Amino acid sequence: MKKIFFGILIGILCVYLGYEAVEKTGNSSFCISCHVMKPMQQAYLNDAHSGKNSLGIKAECTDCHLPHDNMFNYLFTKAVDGGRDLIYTAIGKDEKVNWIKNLDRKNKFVYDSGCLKCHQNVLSFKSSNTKQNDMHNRYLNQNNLDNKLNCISCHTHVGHFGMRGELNKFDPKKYPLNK
Amino acid sequence: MRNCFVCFILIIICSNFLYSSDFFDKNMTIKPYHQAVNLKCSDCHLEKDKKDYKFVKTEVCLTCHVSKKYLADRLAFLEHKNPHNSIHDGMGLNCRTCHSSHKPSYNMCADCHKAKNWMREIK
Repeated sequence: MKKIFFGILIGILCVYLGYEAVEKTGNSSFCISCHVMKPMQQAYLNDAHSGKNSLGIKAECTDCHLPHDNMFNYLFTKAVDGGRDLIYTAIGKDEKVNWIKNLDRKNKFVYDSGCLKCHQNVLSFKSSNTKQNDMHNRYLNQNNLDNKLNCISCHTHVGHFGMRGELNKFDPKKYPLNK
Repeated sequence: MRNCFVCFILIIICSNFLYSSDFFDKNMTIKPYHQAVNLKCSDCHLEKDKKDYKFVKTEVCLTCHVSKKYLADRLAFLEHKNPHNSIHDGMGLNCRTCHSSHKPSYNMCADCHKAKNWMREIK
């Protein structure tokens, strides 16, 4: 009986600590504690997703940069990406990452399931801009398209407004304006 | 004198080739970033018949690219060198003054300034 009670207690403790760990490492202030994230933070603060919008609604880093299709995928991606970032920072490789080049593969860092978690009505909403409706319909029925469409395919600068400028301010030699 | 005249004629002929419609991509291939989002001709050209296609108006570009103000704000870090809000033209330029979809784009700033020092190649 004692063993069962002890097991339940350890189980509850593990769930609580796991929850706290996910929670504490899931907010923006944790992500920007790394030096190299400063330009991304500033560009985020310039964007509507930082709460700079009429409704004051704010998205955290993990809302966009982790998948939200299911809990296991969320936790697995968080562990893999977080582990890689931790190692990169520990060995100083984070300073060598070129974030402008990383923009070419932005579809690897932004998840549609994250966008659609908040923008739930965006695909059914009929805008007065018919082009917007047309492109969203193509997104929904994209089996016949040559190239796969993600939210970030069209919304290329979403989340971080004027990032190239912020990177240039951060390290002008590494991120010259003409490259 | 005769050589000078021949050179002059040759230069005129060459520049005519450079700026004539031959310089356009005859297959009307679009730029990679527009290909990536599967754009069709009719997305930009609103005329029904392909024979009637004209230069695309700025308003049509802005159905996707939001607004001139948005584009200007996005490059605000370039301050007085911001091509989308220049000290000469403000936000008054048409997209196609510099941007082309079927041929290399044209950096108008570079006509007078050493724009390559502070501006990327125009898409």
